[in-house]
Amino acid sequence: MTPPRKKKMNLKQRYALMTRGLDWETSYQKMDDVFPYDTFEGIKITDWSKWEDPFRLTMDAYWKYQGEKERKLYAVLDSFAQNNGQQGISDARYVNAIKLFLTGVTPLEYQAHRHFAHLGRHIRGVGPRVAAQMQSLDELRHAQTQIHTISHYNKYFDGFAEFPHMHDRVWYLSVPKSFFDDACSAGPFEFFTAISFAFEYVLTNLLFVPFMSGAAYNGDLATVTFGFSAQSDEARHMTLGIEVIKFMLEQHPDNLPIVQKWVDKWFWRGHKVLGLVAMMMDYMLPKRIMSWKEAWEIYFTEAGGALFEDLSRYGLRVPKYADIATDEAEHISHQNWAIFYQYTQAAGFHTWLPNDEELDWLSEKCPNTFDKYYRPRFEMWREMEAKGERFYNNALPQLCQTCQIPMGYTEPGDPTKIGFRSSVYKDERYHFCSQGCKDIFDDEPEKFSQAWLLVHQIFQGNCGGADLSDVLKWYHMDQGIDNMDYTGSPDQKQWDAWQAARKKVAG
Amino acid sequence: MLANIDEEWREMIVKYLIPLRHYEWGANMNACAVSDAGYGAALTSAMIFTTGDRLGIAQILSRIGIVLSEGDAELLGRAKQAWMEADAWQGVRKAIEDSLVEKDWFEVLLAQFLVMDGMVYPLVYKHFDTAGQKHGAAALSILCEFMVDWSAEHNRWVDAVVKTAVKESDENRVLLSDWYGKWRSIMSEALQPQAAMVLGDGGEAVLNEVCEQLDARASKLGLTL
Repeated sequence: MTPPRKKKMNLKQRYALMTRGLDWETSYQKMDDVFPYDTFEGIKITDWSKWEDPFRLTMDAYWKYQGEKERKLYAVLDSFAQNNGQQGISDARYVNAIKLFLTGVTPLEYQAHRHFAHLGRHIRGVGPRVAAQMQSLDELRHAQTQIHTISHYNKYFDGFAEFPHMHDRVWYLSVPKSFFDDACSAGPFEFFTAISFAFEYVLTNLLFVPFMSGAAYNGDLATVTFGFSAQSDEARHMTLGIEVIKFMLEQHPDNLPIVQKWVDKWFWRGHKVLGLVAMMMDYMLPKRIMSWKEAWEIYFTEAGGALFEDLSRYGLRVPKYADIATDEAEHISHQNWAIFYQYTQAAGFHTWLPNDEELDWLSEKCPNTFDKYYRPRFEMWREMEAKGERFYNNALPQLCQTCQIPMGYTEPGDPTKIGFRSSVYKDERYHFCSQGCKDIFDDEPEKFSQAWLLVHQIFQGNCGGADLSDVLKWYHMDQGIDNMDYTGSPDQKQWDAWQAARKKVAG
Repeated sequence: MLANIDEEWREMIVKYLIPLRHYEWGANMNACAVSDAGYGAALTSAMIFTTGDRLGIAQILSRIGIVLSEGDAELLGRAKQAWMEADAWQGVRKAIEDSLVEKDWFEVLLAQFLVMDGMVYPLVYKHFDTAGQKHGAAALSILCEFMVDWSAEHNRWVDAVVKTAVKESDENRVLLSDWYGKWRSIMSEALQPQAAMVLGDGGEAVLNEVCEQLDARASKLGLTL
């Protein structure tokens, strides 16, 4: 073999040939026809070649790493199943967190796969186009591996079996679903800002870490292993998010106000969706990791603060209403769990009242709010339960037109008053839980006035009927099995039987 | 490993094989378009994996170009120039560009994965490869083995999809047959200069054979020719 007589290319040059080098300026068709979607939002890109690839992964390496990771994951899942790992978790109440994850989050992975495929085809710049293609693959794999991981629990616990059907129908699942529908029906740059930046970069630690650490603390080895398996992909998704934001801001000064508006919008939307995670952290984990308020301080106030300080050199400021969201970190989980407690009859997982130890933990973690506003309510409900008068809310709630959450949130600075806003558009009045949600509607009323709201649909007769039992059937929820309190549920009976059998074996 | 290839055939590889990295990039975009716009996970999930596979194949071809170029980008540059300007490539490039603006995702699926691939793959990785054996290009066959294996596997999927769609209704059969005829005619013409360039006088017969085999495959799927 003759020794190479030419200078070797460096990694960056090689990667450029493996990606950008493949692309060409079309001449039989106009580039604007080949890429019809990447200009209408008003984002100006003057030079795609300035894009810095945040990672350099060729396809052979991609397949190799992912194949290795998934082999390991499936080996752990097999051993978890063989060793009856479901019996080794902290408590069967924990499984309800996983139900919320499978019904609320896993379908979002799938939606992310679909829409990153859109970006993977339609973004003119090759660097971000290839990155979007890989993320589309990642998200599909994550949806698949999550379903495989959690399917084991479906053999023993209720509430999992109809997760895709439920995702499209159930009232609280319309919160994450509508969040993603909003992003997927936006232009490609807004989607990048919404999902890659606001969600994957700014807020991801408030979604992924709570679920995965929650799994670790509660003996759910299967889900933890999934989390580790996805971690290297998530790191890529984050770097894509920050690179896209910087790139848009560097390309043209006119992009700043557009990007700022999207950051404001998606921060607020993300904050509302994450209220479900807040509730999961503060109420649904038998072994707590940290409180939502602590998580918010670490991952948003500190990490997000440093991020936005860094981005201030581009003129980008901290998202609008970040101060309100921070105040709400001591309220939102309590308000959400109260909503689910009242509507347990329509929830696809079990609810319960916190016990004394848990109430004390909440008092300690939320010293400014819990004893004053929320503990008395839970204690009153406990007394009512003891008297055989467990409280159910049988009225259909008004939903926020933007975030789709029942309007149970309180005014900033006044936790005894329900927040309420409204706007009139084309002679119709629309209602909002907060100023943040109203602002989002007012900016795009034509879009949000078309939102699919479950309560309206029930009243219009589109949800199986007028009675709760009709709607539950339409949800594919089994009355007395999938819904209602943990106490008295088949899940609890099964768990108690396992515990009794274990005691017997232990003698 | 590629050092045994005749100098003359190395030039031929730069003309016929390396420009295909752009063809693969077009196929990558078309797969991604179907994954984006298609309906039903059975199609859209498979198509995002194909998206990755076609990028992977484009990268294999790029690496072959870099190796032939002894580590630099010179040959890739020449191959790209051929893709953009050489007469022999313009029919294929036009077909790809036309497919990129096609709005019906099922037509894209049929055009790219049944018709275009159904001609390009056997022509290049079978017939052109066989011709290279006389010129010391055995090692090149090994480097292209993935493409041969991959397309055998992928064709089974493509056939199953087309067959299912054809069986669904008579309207489908008529529409799909129309599309097949349209793209078959575009591609059989577009590949003539390729076949002539690599195989000389024998090119026409080989291309006819490739087209006949594709027609036979299409008939078996229920398409009317």
